[in-house]
Amino acid sequence: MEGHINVLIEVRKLGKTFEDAGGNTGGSVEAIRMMDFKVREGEFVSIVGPSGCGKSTLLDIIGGLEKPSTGEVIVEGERVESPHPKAAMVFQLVSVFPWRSALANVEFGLELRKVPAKERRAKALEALHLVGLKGFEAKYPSQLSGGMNQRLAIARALALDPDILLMDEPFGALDEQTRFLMGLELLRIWEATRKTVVFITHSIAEAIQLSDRVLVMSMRPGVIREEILVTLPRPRTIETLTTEACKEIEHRIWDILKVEALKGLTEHDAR
Amino acid sequence: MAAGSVRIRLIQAGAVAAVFAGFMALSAAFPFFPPPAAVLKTTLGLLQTGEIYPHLLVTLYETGVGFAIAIVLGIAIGLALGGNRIIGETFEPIILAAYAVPKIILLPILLAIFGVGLEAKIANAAIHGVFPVLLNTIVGVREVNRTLLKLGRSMKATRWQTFQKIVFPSTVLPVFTGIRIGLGFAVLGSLLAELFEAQIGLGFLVVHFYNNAQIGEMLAVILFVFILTMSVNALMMLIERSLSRWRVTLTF
Repeated sequence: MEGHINVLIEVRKLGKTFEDAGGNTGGSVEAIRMMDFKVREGEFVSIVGPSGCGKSTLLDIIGGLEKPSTGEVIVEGERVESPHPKAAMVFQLVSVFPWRSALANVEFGLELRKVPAKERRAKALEALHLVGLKGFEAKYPSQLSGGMNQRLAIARALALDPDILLMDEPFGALDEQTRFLMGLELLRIWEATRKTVVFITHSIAEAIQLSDRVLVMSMRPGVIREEILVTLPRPRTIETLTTEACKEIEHRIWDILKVEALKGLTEHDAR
Repeated sequence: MAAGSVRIRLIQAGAVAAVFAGFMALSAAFPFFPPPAAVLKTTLGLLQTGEIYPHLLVTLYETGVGFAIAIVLGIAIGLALGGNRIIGETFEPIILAAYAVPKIILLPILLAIFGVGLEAKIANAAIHGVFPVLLNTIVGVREVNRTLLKLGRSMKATRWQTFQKIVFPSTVLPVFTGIRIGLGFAVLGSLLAELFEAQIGLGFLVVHFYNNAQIGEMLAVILFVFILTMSVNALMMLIERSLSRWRVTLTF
């Protein structure tokens, strides 16, 4: 058991088939098949894959929002049956409440947990400051930029003081430069909090920028094609991300993904 | 105020003046119609003598009670239809079909059921007012942001918390729009019923003056109803605008 002590998330023989998925596929769709991997405490793991490879489905299952068809997910030694109180999710699309101020947005999860108002406020302020939104407490999402709204969503997750952050392409809707800067921000927050992060993305550059490890997924049904260690030193800067070592990793991932992405394209052509 | 909105206000003032001028031309061509100034004077007279107030109160009462029923029913049915796919798909076509029917045709049935008193007018106001509330509630519930609902689930929100903190605040604006539109229809409902069969109420007063060939008085009541409903609508739009600014904290 010694070696397992710091394994926080364990995905075992995980499979998911959506019955009666409808659409142009007609019957059932096998989203993911026989996935196996572990995430250690404090680790930053990215999962990259072509669009529609089942990445989000995988994250939803880890987050307890979807039931697996086969296999199981173990978080902190317990089988996931419903959302784990020590895991918080951040989604791709803007998921902030337009009718709540920045502060009230961050307080949302604490309200659900019936945390007393004073303590709630203190925790929310702390989380807001951590993501760099000090001074924006009273602003409404419509008064903030897209990047700031995603920081708000991250602060809302952090306010619950989770052990695990499950992030589903959180910067997918942002432009490239903002996305890179948000990546640096996330790294800063991660260095400060040392949460365990599972990060879904379809951007290879983003996966390398952020992660200790990148899991490369295949086209549907998603399986893990390869596991790549990102050995680049931290903290990651523009310099470390433009080295030969980084380019090499990028090439390796791209070589695998290219094959999978092409499969996806021909599949679309066949239809 | 921006130059564009000044221009818009000027055009609007011009349009009002044009209606006024048209009215004057009409009264010049047909002496049967008193000129606008005289109508205005008669309206003020009705207010001064207090002759109009009992009628106003009755119409307000019918509309108020009828529309309160419409709001409660509209929101309750709308939540059920919008929130449950099976119920929604079962009953929505029926409701849309019923919506298309001119509801005034039901008035004789209402009179047969409730008699010629205020109840039939209240029922007619409710029937007219319920649809905009109902349909807007359905749309509001259906268009609650899926990601927010997913977020709620990931944070283990209870059913009540999901309603209170996600669904309800999301639907406030569309529901209120339904209420604003529905109010106009509820007024229509009570007035139509009064025009048809009543002893009291603004609708009745219009018919009464018409039957007595008191065209000036009839126009005065009509003008009064115009101003009244337009002011109420303006007030509702003001509330709606402040709601849409998300400035209100919608937690209870």
